[in-house]
Amino acid sequence: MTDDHILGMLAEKSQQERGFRLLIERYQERLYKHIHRMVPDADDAYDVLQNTLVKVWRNIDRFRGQSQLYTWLYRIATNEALSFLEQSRRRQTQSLDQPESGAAMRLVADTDIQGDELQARLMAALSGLPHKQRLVFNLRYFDEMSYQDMSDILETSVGALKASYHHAVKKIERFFTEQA
Amino acid sequence: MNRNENREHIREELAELSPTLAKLQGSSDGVRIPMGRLDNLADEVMARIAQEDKTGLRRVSALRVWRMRAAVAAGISILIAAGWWGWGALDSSPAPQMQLAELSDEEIDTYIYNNLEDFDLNLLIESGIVSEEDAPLLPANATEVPADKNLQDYLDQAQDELDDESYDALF
Repeated sequence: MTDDHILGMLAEKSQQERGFRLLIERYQERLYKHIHRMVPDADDAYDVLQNTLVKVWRNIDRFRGQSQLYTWLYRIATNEALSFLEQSRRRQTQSLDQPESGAAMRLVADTDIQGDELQARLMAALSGLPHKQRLVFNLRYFDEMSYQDMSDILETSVGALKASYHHAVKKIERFFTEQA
Repeated sequence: MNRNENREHIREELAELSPTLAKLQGSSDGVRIPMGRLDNLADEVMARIAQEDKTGLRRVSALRVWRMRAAVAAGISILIAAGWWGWGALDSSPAPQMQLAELSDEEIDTYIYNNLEDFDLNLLIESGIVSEEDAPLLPANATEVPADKNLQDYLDQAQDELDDESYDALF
């Protein structure tokens, strides 16, 4: 089942729901993982995923194929995750640009986050990054996404994304060294 | 660059930056999805959409409606003031005192309905003045969205959906 096939079904009123279910089936795992890497709590991540998909349904007629379907979906998921984190931050009066004090422990403790020791340390290091830098790292490291696709999703220049990724990797490397 | 080439490039880049991370990459994608976690996702999302459609649940905040009405009232006041000034230039007789604050909701609504094409469609839908079903019936210039603005619209919409508390925090 290709994206074109799914989009074709979504354009037909009579097949819209079936097309949408296929879209969910095709992308649910990737989107859930993407969101959960940003949103530490599994239940919160699931809620954000649901919000994302409702937004997708409500706005699917606005998708006109100028970007790839998956970058559009990632973009919505990313915005939903960042909105959730921003609302959480407001509630907790933490700064967006400061590392989240409790997130590292939550990430490591969450049973959905995989971990042997090194993996757990990576997650702890990631939790210490500002949200947007973590997002850039996740897309490049876990999703193996090209800078161009990342640029489409995050509306940031390729150069800035490269710099952000390099900084993130260096910070994590330093975290590993300090923890060793 | 195809997907495999891109993956190779990413790994080479990482190996140069951090050999430790390069060794770790690919061993895990960071998240394990428990068995059955997403089994009911599609059903739950469709049920939620149906529920929202059924109850007409739209987060139309009273504050946003109030702000829109205030903006419309301000717009009307500018138009009236401009007309008044222009009339005054032709006729030096004293103009009647207009109390703009006395504009009723009905008058404002009438103005909006008579000038729908001048308003942003999303704002009208969010304010409950126009339903989504009726949107296609509006004049083309009221509904037309430039193709390259799709995602920006989405972002604007997301921003608009901030709750009242968040708005209060902003202003």
